Amino acid sequence: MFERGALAAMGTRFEIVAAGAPASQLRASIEEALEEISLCHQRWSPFSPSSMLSQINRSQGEGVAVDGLTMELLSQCQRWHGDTAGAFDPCVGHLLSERDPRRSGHEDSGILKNASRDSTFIGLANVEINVAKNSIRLLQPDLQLDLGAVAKGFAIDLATDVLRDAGVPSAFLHGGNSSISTIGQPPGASAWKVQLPQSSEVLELRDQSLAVSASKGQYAGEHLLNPLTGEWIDAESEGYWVRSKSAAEADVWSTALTVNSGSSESIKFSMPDDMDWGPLRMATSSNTNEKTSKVSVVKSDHWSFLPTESEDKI
Amino acid sequence: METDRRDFLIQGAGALAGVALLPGLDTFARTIQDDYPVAIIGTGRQGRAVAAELQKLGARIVALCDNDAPRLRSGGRRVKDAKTYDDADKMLATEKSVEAVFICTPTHQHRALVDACIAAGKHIYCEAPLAHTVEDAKAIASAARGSSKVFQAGLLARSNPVYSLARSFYRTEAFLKLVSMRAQNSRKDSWRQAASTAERQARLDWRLHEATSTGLPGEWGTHQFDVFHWFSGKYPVRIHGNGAVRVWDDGRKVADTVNLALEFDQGECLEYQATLGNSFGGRYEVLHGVNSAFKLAWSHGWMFKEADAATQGWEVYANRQRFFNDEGITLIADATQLASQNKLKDGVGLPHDSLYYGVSDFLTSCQEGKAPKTGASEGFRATLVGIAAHRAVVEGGTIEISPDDLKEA
Repeated sequence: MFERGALAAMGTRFEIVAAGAPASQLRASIEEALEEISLCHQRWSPFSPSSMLSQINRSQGEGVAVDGLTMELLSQCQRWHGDTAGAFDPCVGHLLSERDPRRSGHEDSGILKNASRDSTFIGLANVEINVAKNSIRLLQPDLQLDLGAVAKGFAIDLATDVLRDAGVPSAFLHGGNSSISTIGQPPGASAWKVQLPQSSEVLELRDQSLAVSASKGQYAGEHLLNPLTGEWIDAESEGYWVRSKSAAEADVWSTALTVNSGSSESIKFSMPDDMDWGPLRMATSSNTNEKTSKVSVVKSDHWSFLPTESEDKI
Repeated sequence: METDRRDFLIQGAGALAGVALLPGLDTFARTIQDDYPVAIIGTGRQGRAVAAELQKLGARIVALCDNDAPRLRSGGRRVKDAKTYDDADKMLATEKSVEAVFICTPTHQHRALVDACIAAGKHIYCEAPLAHTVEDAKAIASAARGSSKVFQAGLLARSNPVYSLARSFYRTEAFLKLVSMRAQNSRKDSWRQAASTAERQARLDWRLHEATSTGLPGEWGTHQFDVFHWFSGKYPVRIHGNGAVRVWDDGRKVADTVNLALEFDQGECLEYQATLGNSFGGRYEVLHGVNSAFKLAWSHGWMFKEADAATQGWEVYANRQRFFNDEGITLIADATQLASQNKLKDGVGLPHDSLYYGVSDFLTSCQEGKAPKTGASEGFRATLVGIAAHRAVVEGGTIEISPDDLKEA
């Protein structure tokens, strides 16, 4: 009944299950959707030295011509940066690399040890986005972009478009169990049901997306920064889920809410009307003394898809 | 290739200089004229990939064309300012400012589109293989020869800086003499296209139809065979082939797994394997020489020296990678400069996809009026070998290739 496919990309694992069409059509659709995600990895992974993002980060003030999708994503980031009053900001790569050197796109991360925390140094105002020339220029020489708070969701959205164009009526896509998109509902059920991390709370998704964000990741403790101060968000701060039409938007706004919850001063922004959200009521695991921001898919008598545990590094 | 001592000295000196003098890759191909007007016919995966490289190079994609609406929509999203057309003739008649056209459609549609673009006076970049039949390939090569405009076949090895560097060593004592060749392309993929209707599925799955497909040897092999053609300066005289549907038993007749042996005139042999059933190892080519072997994997390349091969001096700068019992020296242009900057790291490779360099070379040829690195003749001969290899698989036997077969007219 279900066809499934998976891909390791952007430092995590993407998975797609689809149903409601002949197996060969589903298989071909999943392959093309995963190919789209793979291309996103080539463009935006901070872990790959040859990615478009790493080339921008090495450009040292030179303008870099980029492809249309990179321009679209960065243009949208500019809008989201404004809408979230700066709580979402991709200009924190140099700071994130302190905790996870692989994010710098090269092994020699020593140059980032003394990265500036000056708040004027962060912010998309330091990035020249020339839509007419398809060109990106970093205006501060040591500034580094990191699209980790949005690239997974954006890739999932593109993959969802591929499946829709291919006429797939029912699908579930996720990246690292934290960025999710759905098409229709699973056979025999009214909606895809997702259980929030370490909680009995279940959310229903039908042609909707979901993202969860927490201040503590699986790699080296805190993994979220307050872009307005350059400080790490306390691991005990509240995480958030956001349900939206777009996985990228859900990614952005769940990050913004979590950053706000960990900020000493409230960041003033208004959530869009077309999405709903809530806090993650996570209990600390007695075994690991760590929280996790992984969602799990509720099993059904009609299907048995369960996301595999994977590291969420982006 | 037979090389005498005098050639060693002359070519060796050139190669050593080449390591140090090749242009910096991060600034490669920045000489392309901004806003050079181009169009793309075919906005499937390959057409969209070409569009992305064109955008990085600063070209202006004026128009996109595809008769498949979802693909055209997908292309249009990526190139927002481009006009979109569902008919190539209409696009060519309307978009007079376009200087060059990229043909990225299914292989069997190339001939008609090449004719239309030549009639419209455009430079042409045509994906490889050039055609699905020898007749069409000859017609394309003949039409290109009769045009005053640039025609480049989409065979990317000849534009790839890593391959160029390897080839400079191939011609020296570092490699010495060709012993044998091997290549593979392994990918787990059904080769079916995502489609919403049966009609669309049938149209997009042209690679699985016997009438239009050149199979794995044609669609994949052509690109890899040309690596060996280019390095050795030779084309095979005989091809043995076999293949089967090993994994995707969905009614298709086109083999999903093939094995080939391409023989050359002095006993050299290229063993080739391609499959859609397993991805281990991916895509690469290996050339074994008396003094070293090259493994070339498009974005990366390595040289494996024999223990008794002479040290040439440049190895001191080299980055090395371990492959079980063997140690590979990374082939990367600008190695000396990168080493001096402490930037040589494990896995160092090209900063761009191979396609970037092929597209860049084509635009340079168009703007400067130079002959392309991979013209219609190279494209025709590689296509012919790919078609012959596919025939060997279909017939499960041996196909002879005579010198006359390789003549365009």
